Amino acid sequence: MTQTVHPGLNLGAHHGAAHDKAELAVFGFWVFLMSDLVIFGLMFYVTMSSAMGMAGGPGPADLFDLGSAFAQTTVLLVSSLTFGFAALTMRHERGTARIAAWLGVALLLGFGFLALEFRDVAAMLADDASPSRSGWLSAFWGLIPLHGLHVAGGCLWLIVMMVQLPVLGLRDDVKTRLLRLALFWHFLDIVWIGIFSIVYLGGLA
Amino acid sequence: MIPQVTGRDAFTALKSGGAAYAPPVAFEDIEIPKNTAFGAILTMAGTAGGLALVWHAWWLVVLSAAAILAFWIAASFRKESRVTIPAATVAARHRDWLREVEAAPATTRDEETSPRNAGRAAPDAQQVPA
Repeated sequence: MTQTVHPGLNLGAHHGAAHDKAELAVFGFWVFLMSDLVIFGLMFYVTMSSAMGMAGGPGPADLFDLGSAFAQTTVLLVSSLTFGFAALTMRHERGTARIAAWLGVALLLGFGFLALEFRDVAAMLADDASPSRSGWLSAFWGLIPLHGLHVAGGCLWLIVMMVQLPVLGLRDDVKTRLLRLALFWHFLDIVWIGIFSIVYLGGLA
Repeated sequence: MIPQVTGRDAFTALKSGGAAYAPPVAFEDIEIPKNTAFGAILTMAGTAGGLALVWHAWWLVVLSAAAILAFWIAASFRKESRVTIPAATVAARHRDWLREVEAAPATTRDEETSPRNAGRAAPDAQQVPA
């Protein structure tokens, strides 16, 4: 078996059977991620192409708080970084307690991101910027909460993995699940970079 | 063990040659997924959820979604999701079956709807070319 069996961080041959099993498990997850990317791509397209469809309603300049969006970006990027540390800790076998600790930091930052986003969209609702106000707002409400729902799902998955680590131990399938969750988490980060650049910065440009 | 097929209607050819029920040379362990209720639960909760979405019964939508999530997470906590049937058990079961085949009366096409038919076909007079 070669050292690198799938794109992304590999467990490495020193993990034995878990490394071999990761090839199929992670490949399947890449297929899911790429199909998810198609959905996000469509939502991006709809948002960009409806940028003229304000229908006299509030637009990016009225609604966006760039400071809050930047804070969300920072929190999610750091969360992705700490998940990277968790994955490296697993690869180099430095103990489950340290893996769980890094996952805990990633989870808290994920909650922080969701709290900031919830505050922003709640303010938008109070500001007469509901999905039915204009075509652009419909697209915005389709894209941003879709990403937020993914992050919430990732947080739930993180909680499950933090329970499985002590209960099941570092079983082969627990290792490959953590590899897949890491990919999911980094993927959501990349999608958010797209949202921040195209929807927020592009909208205000 | 994967059957080797060399021509059309390979099993018919083997039966008419009398070689259809030869005992295998060796038996191996068989690894299969363990029995699980998850598929049936998913079906029922999914059906309830779909019905609830159609009829705007939001409490049932929440309930079925929560049930699917809960059972999904519970299923991921199983210690062993696969079970191995040892080669000895496979061999014993297969030899029992071969003995039953041996004991079963060969049944022709004309008698296949009669109670005499125990599942073993008598070779047909008209042969299919191998």
